[in-house]
Amino acid sequence: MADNCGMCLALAEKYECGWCQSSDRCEVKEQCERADRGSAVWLNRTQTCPNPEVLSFSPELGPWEGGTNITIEGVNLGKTFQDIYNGVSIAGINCQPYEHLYIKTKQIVCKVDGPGQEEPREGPVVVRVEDYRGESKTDYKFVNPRITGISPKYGPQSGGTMLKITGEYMNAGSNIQAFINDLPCEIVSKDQNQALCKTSRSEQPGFGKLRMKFDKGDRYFDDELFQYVEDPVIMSAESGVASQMKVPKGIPAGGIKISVTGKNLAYIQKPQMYVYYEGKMFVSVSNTK
Amino acid sequence: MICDSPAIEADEGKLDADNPMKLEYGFIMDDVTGVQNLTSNKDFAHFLLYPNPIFKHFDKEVKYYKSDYLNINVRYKFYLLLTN
Repeated sequence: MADNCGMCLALAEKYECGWCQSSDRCEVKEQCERADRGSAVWLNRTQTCPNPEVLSFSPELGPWEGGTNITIEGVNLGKTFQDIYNGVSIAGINCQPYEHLYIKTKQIVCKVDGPGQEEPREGPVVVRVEDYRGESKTDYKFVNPRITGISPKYGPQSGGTMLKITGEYMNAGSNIQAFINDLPCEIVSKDQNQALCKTSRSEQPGFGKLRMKFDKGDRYFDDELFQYVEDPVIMSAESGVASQMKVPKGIPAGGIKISVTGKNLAYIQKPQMYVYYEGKMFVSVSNTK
Repeated sequence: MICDSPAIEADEGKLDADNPMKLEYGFIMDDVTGVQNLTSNKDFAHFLLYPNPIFKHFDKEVKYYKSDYLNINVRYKFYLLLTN
């Protein structure tokens, strides 16, 4: 009925199951003692499993300022919240579990303090249940995220520009946010060297500074500013030479050149043209500026 | 800015070179709404969709020409002007 000790001892009392250590199975007491292996050790549901195990945790790194929520998954991680409440540490630093996110024997979500200093620090995730201890095979790292560049350096006031942020440890922490001045830039993806965010609308054109939040850590990028420019405007879109009527034209195969004039067109990264044919949208990309 | 007209899954049977189909068009530029749906603005004419040009083969495999102009027999020949 259960694959491991923790799940077994958490079963309802009516089943009268317990964990048979000699056979490594969840069974009733009589069945455990029937095996002729000397004194069979059978743990009942009031007892504690001797082998908590930490199988995985996420994220694997966070800012040295702390405040990161770490999700720990494993086996035999206590039967009740009280079993683990005081027993979780990350690289030796206390991690406070959330009661509403605890899944008995299987999952703990806790918030870790910071080491309080900028020095790098790493160590395993440790869960203690009574006198027993489970430790992760890999280490959690406290790191110092750093922003080194942004691209492009401009975009339209209406927002929607995909901003590439390069740096170190751009994926540190459980809650990562970006802002240009106070305007949110919605994080779309992140990895160790890069984050991608989508700019939101600015009421005014002008320059803004990039700021990122990594849980309790704030980082600013002072080297380059992002410029919100006035939205582009289209004045004409046409195919053909001067003597012809100025309208855009095309064929089903596509590829007919359409010359577009307007203002601030150069500030858009990937302009696309679309047409609607019988209610369906067909799109192409511009190839020269 | 130069754009290529998009490839369109159109039913060629419905297309007429003398009477091109009028389509709505616009541009996607990040989240800028002012360049979308340009045809709703009376200052912009519709996009005209013509049928694909059909090329006819030469009589022989290779045609040698010494004069300036090469005559390619093409139905809807005016497309050559569009691709400049």
